[in-house]
Amino acid sequence: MEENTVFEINDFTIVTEMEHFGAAFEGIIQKYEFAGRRPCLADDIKYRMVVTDTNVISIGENKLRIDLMQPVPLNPEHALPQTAPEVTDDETEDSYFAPFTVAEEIANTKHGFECTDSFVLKFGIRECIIVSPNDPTCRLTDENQVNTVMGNIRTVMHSCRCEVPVFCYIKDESLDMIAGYASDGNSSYKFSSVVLRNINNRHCTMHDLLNMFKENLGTTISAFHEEVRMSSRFTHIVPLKQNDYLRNHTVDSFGVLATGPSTSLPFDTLEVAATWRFFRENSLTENRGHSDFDINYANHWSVKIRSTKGSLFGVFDEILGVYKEETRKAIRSDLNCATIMGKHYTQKDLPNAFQKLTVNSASEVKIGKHGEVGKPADEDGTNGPMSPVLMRSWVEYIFNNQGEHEVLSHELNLLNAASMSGEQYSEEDLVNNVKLDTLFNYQDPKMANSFLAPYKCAKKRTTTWRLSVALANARVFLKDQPRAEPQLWIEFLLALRKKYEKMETVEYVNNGIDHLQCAFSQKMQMLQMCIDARQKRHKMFDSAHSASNTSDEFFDANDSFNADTTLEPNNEGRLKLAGMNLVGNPSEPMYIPITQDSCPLTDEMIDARNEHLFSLDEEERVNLQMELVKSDMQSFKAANPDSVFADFLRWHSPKDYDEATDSISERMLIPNNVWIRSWEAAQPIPVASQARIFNDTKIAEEIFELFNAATLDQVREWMKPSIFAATLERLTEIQSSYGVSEEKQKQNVKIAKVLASATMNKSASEYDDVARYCSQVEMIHNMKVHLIQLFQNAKEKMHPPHPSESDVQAAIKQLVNIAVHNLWEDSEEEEPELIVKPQDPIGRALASMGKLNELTEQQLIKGHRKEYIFIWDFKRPSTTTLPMSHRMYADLRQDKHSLYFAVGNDCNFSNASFL
Amino acid sequence: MSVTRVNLEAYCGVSDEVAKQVKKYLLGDFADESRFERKNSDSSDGSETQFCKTTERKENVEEWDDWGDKQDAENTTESDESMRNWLFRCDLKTYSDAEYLLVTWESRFVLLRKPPDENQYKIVCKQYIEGDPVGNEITASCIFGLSNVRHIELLDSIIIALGTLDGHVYFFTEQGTMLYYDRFSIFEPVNSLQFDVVKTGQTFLVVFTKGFFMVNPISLKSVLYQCKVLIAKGEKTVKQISESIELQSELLAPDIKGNIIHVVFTGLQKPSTFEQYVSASYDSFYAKVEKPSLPLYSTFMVTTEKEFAVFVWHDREEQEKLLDDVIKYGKSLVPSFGIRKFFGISTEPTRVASHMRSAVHAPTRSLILETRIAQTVSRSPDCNYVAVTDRLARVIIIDVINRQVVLIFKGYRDASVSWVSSTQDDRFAQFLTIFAPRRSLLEVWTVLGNVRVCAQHVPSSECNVVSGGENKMLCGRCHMHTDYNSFFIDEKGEFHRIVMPFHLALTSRARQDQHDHLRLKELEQQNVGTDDWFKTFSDLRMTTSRKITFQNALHGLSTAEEAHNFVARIKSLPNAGSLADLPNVAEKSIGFYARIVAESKAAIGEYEKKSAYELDSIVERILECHMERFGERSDAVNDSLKVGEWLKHVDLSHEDIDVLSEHWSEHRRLLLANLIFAPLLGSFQIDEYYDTVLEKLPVNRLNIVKLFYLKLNKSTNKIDWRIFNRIVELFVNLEKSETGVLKSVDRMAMDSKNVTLGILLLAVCWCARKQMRQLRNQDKDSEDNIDESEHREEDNKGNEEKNKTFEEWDAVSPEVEHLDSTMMCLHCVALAQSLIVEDPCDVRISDVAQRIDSYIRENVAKWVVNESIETEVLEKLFPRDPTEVLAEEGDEEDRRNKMIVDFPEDKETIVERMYQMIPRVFEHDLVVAGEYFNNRLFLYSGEKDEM
Repeated sequence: MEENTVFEINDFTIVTEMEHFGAAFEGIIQKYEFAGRRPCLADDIKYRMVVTDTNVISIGENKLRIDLMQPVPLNPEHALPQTAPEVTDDETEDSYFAPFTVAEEIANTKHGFECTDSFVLKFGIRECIIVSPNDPTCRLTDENQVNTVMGNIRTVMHSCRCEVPVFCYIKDESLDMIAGYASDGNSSYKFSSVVLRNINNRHCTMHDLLNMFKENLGTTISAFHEEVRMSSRFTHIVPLKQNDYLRNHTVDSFGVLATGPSTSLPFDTLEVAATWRFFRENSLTENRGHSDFDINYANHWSVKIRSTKGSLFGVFDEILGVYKEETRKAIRSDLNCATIMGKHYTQKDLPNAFQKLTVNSASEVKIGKHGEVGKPADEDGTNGPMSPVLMRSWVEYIFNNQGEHEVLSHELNLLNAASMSGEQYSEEDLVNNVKLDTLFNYQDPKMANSFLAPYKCAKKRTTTWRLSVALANARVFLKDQPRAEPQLWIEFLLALRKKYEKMETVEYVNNGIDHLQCAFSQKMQMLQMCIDARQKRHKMFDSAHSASNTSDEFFDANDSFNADTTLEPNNEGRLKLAGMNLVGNPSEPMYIPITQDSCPLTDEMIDARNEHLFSLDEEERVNLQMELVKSDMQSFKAANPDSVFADFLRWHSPKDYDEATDSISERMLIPNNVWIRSWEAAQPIPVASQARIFNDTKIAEEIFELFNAATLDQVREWMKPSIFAATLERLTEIQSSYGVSEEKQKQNVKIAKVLASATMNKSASEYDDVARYCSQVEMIHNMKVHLIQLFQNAKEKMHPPHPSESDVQAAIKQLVNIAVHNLWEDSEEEEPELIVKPQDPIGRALASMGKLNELTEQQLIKGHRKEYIFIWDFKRPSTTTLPMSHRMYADLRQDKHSLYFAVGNDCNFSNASFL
Repeated sequence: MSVTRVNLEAYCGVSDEVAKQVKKYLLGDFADESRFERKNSDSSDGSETQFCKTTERKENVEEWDDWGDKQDAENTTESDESMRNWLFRCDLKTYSDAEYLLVTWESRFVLLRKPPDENQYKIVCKQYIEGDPVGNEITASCIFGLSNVRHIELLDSIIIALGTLDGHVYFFTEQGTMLYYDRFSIFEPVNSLQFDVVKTGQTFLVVFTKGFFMVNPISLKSVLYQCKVLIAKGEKTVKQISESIELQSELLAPDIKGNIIHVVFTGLQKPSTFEQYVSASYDSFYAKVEKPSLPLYSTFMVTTEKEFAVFVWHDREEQEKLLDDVIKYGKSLVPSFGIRKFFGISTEPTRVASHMRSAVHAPTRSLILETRIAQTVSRSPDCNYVAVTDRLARVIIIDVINRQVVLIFKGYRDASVSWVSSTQDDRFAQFLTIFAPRRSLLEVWTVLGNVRVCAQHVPSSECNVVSGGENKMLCGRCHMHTDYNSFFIDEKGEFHRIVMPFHLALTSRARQDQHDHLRLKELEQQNVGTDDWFKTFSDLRMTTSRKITFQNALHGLSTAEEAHNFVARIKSLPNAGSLADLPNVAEKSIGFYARIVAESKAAIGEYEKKSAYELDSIVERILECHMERFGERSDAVNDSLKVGEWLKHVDLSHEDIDVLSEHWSEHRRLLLANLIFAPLLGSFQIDEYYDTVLEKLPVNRLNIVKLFYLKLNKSTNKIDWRIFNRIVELFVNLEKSETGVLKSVDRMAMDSKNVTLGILLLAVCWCARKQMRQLRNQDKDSEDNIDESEHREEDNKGNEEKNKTFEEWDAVSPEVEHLDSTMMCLHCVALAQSLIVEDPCDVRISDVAQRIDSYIRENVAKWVVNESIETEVLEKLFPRDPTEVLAEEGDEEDRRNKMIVDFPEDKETIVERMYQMIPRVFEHDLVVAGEYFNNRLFLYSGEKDEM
């Protein structure tokens, strides 16, 4: 055979700008090795389209982004099939031809609404190259630009035989207007789209769309054509009949941290996307007057429950939100609580705290004046905005005063009634409300009295704990009364003062200040200790005064005061016999003196003291540290006038004195050491006459001063650890209402540890983490609770068979997952779906929930979103060409109508008889 | 890179004489140089009016200079050629596949025609436009047909339209009679004139720099008819007509920046609703589509000096829609009064000159934002694509439906592009031809597949490609298919039609089966092994079709040598690899066949007189006689299987072929038998033959034997002692490899109706058995023999008494004894059969065996009855007392020697021979023979049950 060797002309010159673009685009195609056949993807594997690479090409001054979208199997076990076997000139492969992948994909009716990738849905394509503007200024806006760019792309695709479809975004990317093209040189597919706010009403039903579909393919309806295969999906959004949830306040609910939705219920609409899969033309009809698409007879539903509200919040979010930097600071931070109250609170002309400090003896403190019984209670209380009675009884409740509960209960009923008024509530609503109330405010009787992790906060059942809960509740319950919180604080302070004066117990203290609790809690404990010290001091004064017969006329001896002292009150300040005799005067018994207690220290005070100590020189520091020892020495000397240093050691520090050898330890024998010096300097002064080391009055007044001057922010800050702890504990409590999975439990413990660390280190970011977690979990809980209630209501209304409990639970779980996904998760992840068969019990329950049976035909036709997929095999452009599949996806929403067309064309042949 | 050559079909040429005449006329007698110079300066002006002309006539002008310089030398052949060359570089317009050729120069034009049965152009008319030769310089021309008044599918006449520098358009008939003129512009030359026909409509365009006229074709037709009639009758002059009759037209002014270079009518388009929505989407998200009915547009692609390509969509006027009816229903155009008035044909002088018309704005649909400038354009036959060449050495294909560029060919400077169509049934494929003069390269491409289907270098760049011109008729039906041809004009001015076979369009893999289908059809018509065949074969795309074709081709071959050559050639083809092992397998098989055939040549001069197996002399004589008789048959086939059939049916790699199955016809079986047993007659050593041929055949032993029987039964081969010995040897080999072969041969012999064949086979078996026994005796010890004899005793109970007479240790097998008697009896049977002429062989030997005596007597009796033999003859033939003959009992050997063994003609002699041979039918010989037969029959009946 004669060889005719003619080389093709290879001209790689680049002249125009468009050719530059084309060359760059070709480079990309070469890079991806996209020339030639593409592998057909298996149907049975689920894929997700992922942008696997991105390039930027400039076209003139503009830049276009070229993204490569490729399918990645959801299940990583299924690796992508390798590229089609190399096509060589003498292929050994038999009559099997790798088909044009795009054509196969478009013909694939399985690419229905199950696919969530937008390109699969719109065009049935699972692999493509996407051209989009790199920045918003260089959008392709008019047809000329698009045609020119697409034309160049087509040129490149044809010249390097790239069969991967290329799509080009037109105008704003969010508008989703796309043009595209794919070809194997033999048949080509043109992809185009319509994105309009509204297409003409004439074209909004299936029948009309079908006509439009066929018309664009250049044909009219004929009996000889193969029928169009269709799928459709109708999304209906129906409101869930439900009034806002009203919190019912009870005494019990005041005791625990509030939970539940803060403003409205989590869900108020039901969204049902009903899908009809693969039906033939004419098997179902929809035109302007009639619709066969009765939602109850769809193939399946994809159900979502949504809120029309923009943002969903739970109570926890409300409670913890104040601690977040970015969230509300409704009240001025520079004013203290009293000032905030303004006219609602007039401070009584209290004696200045510093005046009181000048009073040295208890007798000078005119206790009786303030503690007088029978005075009108409201005289020194607040008078608004909440009923003072409510506030006061609430405060009493904080102090765990049992007797006041009835008053509180009564006040709460008034409060409930007030919030109910103005809105119409049916019987059913009320029942629902009560149901929801019990669901939301679940209290676990078995809730352990311990924390999940060692938080540095108030212990449960302390006043501080209750106070923090109460303040938080005040913030939430009386949201429309922004002053409720400061009001409660002030009422609390008033009560606290009153109790202090009366020396009543204000806080539970166990053996000194518990440094494992938070600062505020420590202060409260300190206050209690002040009260205790004062009480003790008063008793001591009494004994001292009675011994010297100089009775204090102002002192009202308390009859009930009966300390178990072993000695009668005496002048020497002797407490009891030590059971041994003095070394220096063996005939004299040794008395143990009444000693001063050391000053209890809160963390803050320790810090302050340490700081002070550091600022002193050696001598002074030692003196300061020896303060208590000196006081003891003075007391000892007073009680045992004849004692020597060795005696003191025997009592105070027995280790330093060996009874057997009668010798003092070497430590104490160091000449001129601080102990000896102190001993020598010490005067015999009984405790009652000594200067107080623990100046309880001063400390208490300081605390009160601090409390009074506190701004709301400060108060909140004090409450912060306890509030967080309370939230987290409450969270586990409410979670237990429907059983907590092990995993959840672990997560709770983990977050509890985070909180423990946060309370320890005062780390704001950790607090934020906890806050986020708490509000999310609570929201999820609210959703679940709400759904449980919805399903219960639905069950009551529907006909049997009822959905099984496990079905309901599974549905609830999935619905919550969807909501959670939409609320918090990145859009990267695929949205979970709840697929339900309409005639299954669960489907009927949902129908009953949304009253879907009552949808009218017009409602069906005017669904919120109607989507259709049409696939048709039709010979185009002429009857002698091979039949090709054409596809249209129509997406009609309320405010946006989109049509996506993939139209095939046999580009090499046409019907000769037409020429 | 090897590609198919462009298929050029010589079409026609222009004789020197005609060329000279044309040139002479066009240039005129007054061809002075100053005018040419003027033209030169004009064309280099670069003024806007000249812009278009420059592009059209660029090369023309260059050639002109040449010619002008060499004016003196015009009589030489060389100058004639260059002149002819020049001619075809003039502004050429073709019509109807280059049947008509219009050449224009200045204000003159010549119309050439090639009558269908000739291959030279002839001048139809030479004409010029009267008046000022400068103003009347032809700047644009167009040629089209005018359909018949009554029948729009018939051609009435050819119309030549000429546009001039001063804005006139003149219409002439092919005879050079001016029919009508109209002035379309008073300040611009006509840029181009086009009559475009697309499948849904037609239009006549007069193009200027800023706009173009769409002349209503119906109006044009009416006008031209009127003129023809009026002028023929001599009622009015052209001037009168032109000033009174108005041509309906519309001036479209598209929204463009630059001056128009080309206007291409791309057909009528009716956008679908979807398309309306798409364009609305481009406008704005809030755009609305309200119009319920879909508009119909005339679409144009316009190239300008500023914009590369602009797409103009013009709403069609109401009257144009009438044309649709015409085209659709083939209505004859008899204008009613109303319509005439509507079209302005009324005789009242209400005429408005075309140049007075105000322009109608024609909206642009979109444009391609490219910075190129188009040079030439060419619309594809289906109106979907326009090929554009630009000044950047590019050929660009534009998809006019989608208004996008779809392909760019780079590096084709000054290329000529044209389209070629090809049809197959009702399918239509189009190709783009590109001639790149700078590279002297002619290429043909598919459109979107971007496949260069053929290409070739041409000897010179002085060539061109012109489109053949459609067979388009004004107001004619246009849905009739016409091929769209392009012509390659070589350097000698010869026209070659570019012929594209349809199968070349089937380039993509999805189409390859179709491609091959077409090619296979061609292959069927070609002789296997010819160059064409190989060429077509190597063009097949699919492996399967190649394989099948290859096999089919092999099956058609007759000799091994041919097959060898064929396979060798196939193997040398570049794509033979796709056949995989097939050629090798075939070659092996062919080799095998060749060997058989080669060894089948009969050995010459090697005649053996005697059997190699110590046969009784009487047996030898009988056999010899029968061998001779065997060779006399004439009713059989002697052909053997051809190599093709051999390859078709016998696959050596096969396990086993059931040659006796229904798939094998009797005839073919015989051919096979003839083939494989041919070496028996040749000189092939039997052992080797057995090992190399029969062993390797995928046929089992039993079937080989059957084939052998078939061969003997059905084919004529002379058998001599050499062959007999070889057959015996063969059977020994067969029996050795599979015991029982001899038995089956025995049975076949017994079942045979041909006594001669039976005698031969039985003798062969006997000899083979004897041979086997000898071999056994040599090889095996006595124990085996005892076993063998015991075995034999069981089998042959009837022979017990006989056996006792032999010594016990000497193994006796009765099947190797008494051959003489058997032979003699069978010979007599054969003789007896030859007594009766009609159906002599309708009984099997086994049937006869039990009653040989009676059978013989029966036959004799039949003969006697049939031929009414006289008693005395009988008396003579059968003496009453046979004892006379039997008297000499002692000398059996002697008696036998006296016997004459032959097949005499005379029937009486036959009887004599029989009588001579077995005078005592109840005596010894007969008894032994009967016993023998009984014995055998008994044996076989038992075996038959097993089978």
